Amino acid sequence: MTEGFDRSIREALFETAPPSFAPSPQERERTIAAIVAAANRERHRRRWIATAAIFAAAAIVVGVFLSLKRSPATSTPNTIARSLHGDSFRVRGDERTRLAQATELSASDTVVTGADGEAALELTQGTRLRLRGREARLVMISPAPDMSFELTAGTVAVDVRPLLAGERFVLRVDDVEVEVHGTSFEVERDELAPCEGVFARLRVVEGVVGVRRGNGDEVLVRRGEHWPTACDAPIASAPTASSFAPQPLALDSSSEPRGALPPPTAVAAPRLIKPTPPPPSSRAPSDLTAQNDLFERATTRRQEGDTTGALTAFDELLARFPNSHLAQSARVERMRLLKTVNRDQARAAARDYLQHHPNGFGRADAELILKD
Amino acid sequence: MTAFLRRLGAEDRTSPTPEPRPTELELVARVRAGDAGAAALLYDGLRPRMEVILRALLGGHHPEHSDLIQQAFVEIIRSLPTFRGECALSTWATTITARIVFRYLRKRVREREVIRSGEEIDDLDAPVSSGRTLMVRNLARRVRFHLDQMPAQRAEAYFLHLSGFAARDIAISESISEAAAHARIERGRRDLHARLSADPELADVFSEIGGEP
Repeated sequence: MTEGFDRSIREALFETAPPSFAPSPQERERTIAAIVAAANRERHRRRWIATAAIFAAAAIVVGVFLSLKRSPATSTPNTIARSLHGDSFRVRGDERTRLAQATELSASDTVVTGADGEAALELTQGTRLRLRGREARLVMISPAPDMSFELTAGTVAVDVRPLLAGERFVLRVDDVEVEVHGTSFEVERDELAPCEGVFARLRVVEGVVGVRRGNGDEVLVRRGEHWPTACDAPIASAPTASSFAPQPLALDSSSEPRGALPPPTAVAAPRLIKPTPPPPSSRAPSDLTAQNDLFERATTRRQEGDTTGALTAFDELLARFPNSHLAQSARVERMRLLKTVNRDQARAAARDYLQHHPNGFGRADAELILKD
Repeated sequence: MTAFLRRLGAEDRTSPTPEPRPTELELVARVRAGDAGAAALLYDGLRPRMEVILRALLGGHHPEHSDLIQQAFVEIIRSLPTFRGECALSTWATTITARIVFRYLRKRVREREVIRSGEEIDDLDAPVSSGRTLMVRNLARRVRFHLDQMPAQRAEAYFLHLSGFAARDIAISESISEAAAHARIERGRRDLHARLSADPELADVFSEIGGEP
């Protein structure tokens, strides 16, 4: 399919678009001024960052110096882990320690569950993570305020309390980065079923999280949605908002509603809906020239202000060639025209459009008309 | 300078007399220093290529056309510190422009700003020389719609491939491996092909203009 398909698409996108207006001298000057302004802003921003970095470095040096002078006994751990079920361990370098009631975690520590193990982590501000799965592994890259974790095996359910200014919460799975905007979500690393080239699966229970892959843009995943969206295999067991509801870390797996998935209706519908092509016998006879002529007649009438003539031509096109390649465009144009003359008919046209093209390019128009 | 402009496919409209010819990296350095003359050269050199991208993704006369060009230039300036000259500046700029337009399209869909406001002129309304042109423009409309619905990275990669960029250029500007760029292009092609194939109304169009599905 490669060459012929690419050629057709290239022709459609690049060779038939009508020429755009040449930029006016004023527009050119305005854009050049914007370029210079952006360059100046960028320069000042970098200068400011460099200055701030110097001050930050100085502050860190002073902070480290002061902390070294303090007694270690006075410091309180800001992340603790405990086993909820079965055996779980803290791995620090070569040292492997069975999790007690409140085992302190430091940066670079890994929490590992044994067979049937389940572990809980509690961070400052009440943020909680629950790690489960056979030999699930979670690395704490950095504690609060820049909370960062990496899941290398298993499943982790996360309940992030509202973040304070300057705080972040990031969870990585391979090159996928999930950043929290105040929420509750679950991430699974499924090595056996990569989808879209990633092992990570995310389902958001509350709020919004952002997902970045590599250096890509952040995609926002909202309540009830999952990521990657194109993968039809959401996580088998997602946390509910109540999974963390009892006392902090009172996470008794036996008393929790396990496998309580949000109702299917809450999950974002797949974006691609494959319409079933009508059987060949039901298709109207194809007469492309006549279809094109009718469509052109309709648009010409509309440009001349002859709404009735335009509607008549669109109606004729739809009646004679209901499966025309221009049928969807005709339905959209008809719906837009009717909006200017008769609201009820416009609403009927919008319903008709959505019935024929539930995922078509004019869907937003139709929904707006129906909302009016 | 002329060499730079020739490579970008534009005429040097601002310097009638020959002057020392900066390399792309030198030009970038001058723009970053706030040199208005260099900014004008950059604008004249890059704008034609950016126009092609905007027209392909939005059609000929989009009301946000000028604003998007300006936004793309501002984004290019912001990203210049990371430009190392590993690919042509025009490639870099084109990639950023495509990303800005895709982002705009997705935002527009989210905010439901689709109803034509009156000043937006649809390509299907523009004068056509033949029924084939109308058909192909209708196809373009569907292609834009589906590109807009596809996962961003594969849609962008496939679009850039159609714009004439090699996987290596896409890899550099997207900071990914060449193999990953190839994979994104192929996935984008397959995805678009599947979506267009599922549209029964387009069967006649493809059989008429050739190619698939």
